[in-house]
Amino acid sequence: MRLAQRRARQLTICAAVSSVLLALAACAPSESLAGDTDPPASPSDDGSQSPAEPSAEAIELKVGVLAPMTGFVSAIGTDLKQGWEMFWDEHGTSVGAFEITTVLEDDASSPETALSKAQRLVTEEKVDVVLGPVLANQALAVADYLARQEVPNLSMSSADDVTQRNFSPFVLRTGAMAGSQMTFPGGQWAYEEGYRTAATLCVDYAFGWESCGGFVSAFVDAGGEVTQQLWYPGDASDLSTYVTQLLNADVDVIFAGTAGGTDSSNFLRSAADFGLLDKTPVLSNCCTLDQAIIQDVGDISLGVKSVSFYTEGADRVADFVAKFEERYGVIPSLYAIGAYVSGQMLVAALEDLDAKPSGEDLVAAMKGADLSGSLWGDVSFDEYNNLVGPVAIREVVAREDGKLWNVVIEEIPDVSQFWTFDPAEFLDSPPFSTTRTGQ
Amino acid sequence: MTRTRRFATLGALGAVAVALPYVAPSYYVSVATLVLASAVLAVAVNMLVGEVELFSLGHAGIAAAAAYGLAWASGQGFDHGGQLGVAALMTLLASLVYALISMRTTGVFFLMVTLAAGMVCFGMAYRWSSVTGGDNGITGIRRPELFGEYWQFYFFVLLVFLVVTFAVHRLSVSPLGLTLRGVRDSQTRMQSLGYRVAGLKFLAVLMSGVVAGVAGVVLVWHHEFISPAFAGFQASALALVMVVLGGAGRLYGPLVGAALVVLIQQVLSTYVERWPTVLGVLFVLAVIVVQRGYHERVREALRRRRPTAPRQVQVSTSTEG
Amino acid sequence: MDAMLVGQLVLNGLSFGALLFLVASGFTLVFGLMRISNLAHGAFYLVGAYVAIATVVATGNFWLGLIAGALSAALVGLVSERGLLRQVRGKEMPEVLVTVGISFVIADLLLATFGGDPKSIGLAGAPSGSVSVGEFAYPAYRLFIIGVTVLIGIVMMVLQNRTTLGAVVRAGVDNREMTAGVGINVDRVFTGVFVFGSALAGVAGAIGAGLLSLNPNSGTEMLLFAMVVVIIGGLGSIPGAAIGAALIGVIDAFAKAYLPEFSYFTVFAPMALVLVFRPYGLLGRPA
Repeated sequence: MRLAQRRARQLTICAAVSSVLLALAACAPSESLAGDTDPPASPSDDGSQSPAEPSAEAIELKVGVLAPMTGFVSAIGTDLKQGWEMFWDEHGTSVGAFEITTVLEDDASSPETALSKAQRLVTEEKVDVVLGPVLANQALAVADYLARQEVPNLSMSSADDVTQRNFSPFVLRTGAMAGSQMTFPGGQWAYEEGYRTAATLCVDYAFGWESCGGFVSAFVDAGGEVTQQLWYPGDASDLSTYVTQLLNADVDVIFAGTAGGTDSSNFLRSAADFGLLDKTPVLSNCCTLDQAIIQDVGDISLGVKSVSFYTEGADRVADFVAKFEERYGVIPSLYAIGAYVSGQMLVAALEDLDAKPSGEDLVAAMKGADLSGSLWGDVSFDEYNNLVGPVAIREVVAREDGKLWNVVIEEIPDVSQFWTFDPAEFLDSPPFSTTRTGQ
Repeated sequence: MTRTRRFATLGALGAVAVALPYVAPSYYVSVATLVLASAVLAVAVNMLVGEVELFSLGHAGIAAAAAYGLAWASGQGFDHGGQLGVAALMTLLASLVYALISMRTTGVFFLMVTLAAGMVCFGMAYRWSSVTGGDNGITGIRRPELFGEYWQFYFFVLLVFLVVTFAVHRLSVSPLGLTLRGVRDSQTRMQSLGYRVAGLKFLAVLMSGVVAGVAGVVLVWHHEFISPAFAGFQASALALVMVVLGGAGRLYGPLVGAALVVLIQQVLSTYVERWPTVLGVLFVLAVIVVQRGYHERVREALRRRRPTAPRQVQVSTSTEG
Repeated sequence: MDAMLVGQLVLNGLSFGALLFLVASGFTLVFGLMRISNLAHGAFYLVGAYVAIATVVATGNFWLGLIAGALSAALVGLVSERGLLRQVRGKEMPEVLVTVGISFVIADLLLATFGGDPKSIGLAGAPSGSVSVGEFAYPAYRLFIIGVTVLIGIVMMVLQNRTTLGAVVRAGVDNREMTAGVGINVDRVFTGVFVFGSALAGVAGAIGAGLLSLNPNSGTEMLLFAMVVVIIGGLGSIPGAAIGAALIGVIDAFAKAYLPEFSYFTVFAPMALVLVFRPYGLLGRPA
């Protein structure tokens, strides 16, 4: 009988709790706590909530930066931070009517943390614009969230879809180029060099598919033939099997699209060990021969060609590279300059404004600003908020002090994320994958 | 703890939980939601630890299977009912596999089998990119509009957590719970008594898997996103860490552990860069302290200072708080 | 199927397998003797690797790096065993959990000290280039790995079967209580074996760093592979670890070439199967 009483009591408690919860679910907490539904720093009213008024004092513009300071790509996070800080130290944080403050959050190289931190930046720090994150999976998730909050996102990711199938008026790709965009010119260049057959090796996820997809589309479009395509898992520690297969492929040129982590070093090392680099010309994507990798593998990278929108040995960035080297002791990577340029572009847009813009207005201002001084070269934004600009074929050489870096062999201007294809048709087809490879 | 004291504590906790969205900014409510959702997964792991003393290092795999099922269905255009159906199917499938391969193992072997199973889930999520999106994961998943707002979702997750905890409690005081604990205490004895031990363990893992599936759905609704990391070794290890830190086998263990781990991960990480070290050290200390009984000694010392009524002797063997 | 390709794949598998053997043998020794599933083994591998790299960068000598890697991993193992594992000696689960915690801390501290950049040894002083037999060329470093591992394996077998120390260890594996009863300081033997196992992981790390680039996740990866090898080969058995390692290495190499979508599956499925049907592995024995 006691058992029955206890059961009855427990059931009553449960019922009570459930009904209370259900009732509460109908009552919303106050707007100020909700934060993200109506950030005070926002658009529609005329900024009368901010303590400082324009023309008398500067308007605060808060930038949230999501960078992987810990986790498996923490090296990228450090570069990003350094590039960003160097820009503001040089330029000063006053831009016209605005005062720029930065809030840096560590996204731990993980998409869940990136999303949480993005939420924190928007609801607690009330940032006006977010830079980053870098990894494709993080970038897509965060861009999705920020677009819904109507906070502009300056993207540092190369995921194609950020400015294609997932395009949003709030997302502007300032710190990078799309994955396939930067390899299209490689395919054309390979054909022009006289190569007619190619084999590809790319990492088996979106970034690899996009890298290979770009090269293959352009190469095939020009008249070449891709006879073999190999895909390796991103966390593979041993690439010797793939290199062995490439060694046995009878082609004019090999394209390698790696993710920029240990896989890149592993590939180069295996390729050197097995003599692949001596046997067949190899063209790689940006990340295979990024500074971090070059520093890791050393001399085996000499003479290897790659295609990318950033060449650290180019004249255009000589000043920036020298200053960065002096300040931090290393040659800047893709991510350092990406952050720096994003700062440049933000400044170019803000200089002409005298009131805090809404999310969409800020993006529009950035698109319309004068970008002629930017470190990417002669760039503009297309209607999908992606950069259109120069891409270079590069080669690794040693400079006078013995350090290795990339120099420009040939530059192709005005490369669009759709290459020479029709944007509508391009977007209609499925994204690049192992089944849609660009052939 | 006396019954009145226990109700008082529960009542206070309940009040805080219910009042949270009305006094704290949305970010903290979101963190609390994450704590509760993670706690559900911890409850699943805790179930196996408490009832059958089986430590699983792969439960995130089952949660991820459910979550990917839902995410995929959402991408295919299924309505919420359909999405949940797919998630349920995936949960069942994954739990069945886990149960089948682990039912004849114990101790360290069980740990390693579940670890392997978790890694296979991770590998599938990572490699089967046409379905799972590979490393990019799947975005654009939306919660049902019924609890679409952040505070509504918070209450929903709170409810789910309470229901799950209650269900596990009911299990542990049931005859089945008693049987399971018999298996935990002495497998050979149970076998000689005629119980089919493997079958019982199968059942336990299956039930725990169902709870893990629920956790997966709640988590994917919280993030509105999924990637292979959900199934990874770190996710499973953290679930186990939550269970141990909070008090293995205890009813409140999962919540305490989840709160500790999530707070360290999300909040502490803003101020302390070496938070994984903090977590690791805490974890090792917790294991050692509990093993050596230091916590009992501390409790004794505290009790000696308080001249209260004599402790009630409780002969219950159920999962007590 | 091209014979040369197959030959290269087999050698690839064997060289990777050799590395796995080095990692797995330490793991299996510790498990066989102390029944501890040392989940921090991967972290010890990392320690060996990072320290080796730092040493090679500083001194330019590969062999010094190897020694430094082994010693540092051994030291970390010593501290872990005496300081932490000793506290929970004999309790299977707490021991495993403590090693999990240790691995968290070590991985994070290594990240703090060395940064997240991919790293590897510049092979200064180590064998490099390739060895050719007719048309068939193969990297010297990989052959070196196979050679070194076979050597270490032979030394270990000799130690185990021909020396008193080995006898003591084998006795301890077979029957802990009796061994203690005969008057042998089992505790010291345990510590010794644990330290030796850690040193092995450190050597593996140093060698592996020359083969595969390193990042903070490499530890978990190696640990998982080691576990698979040990389970298949049999816990506590060195020959078992050798067989398991060779098997897994070759399976992995061929799977990557012909079934890339299933690479994880092909490695973990055999482990799961062995656990279900023959839990003590191919060459293991019950306690």
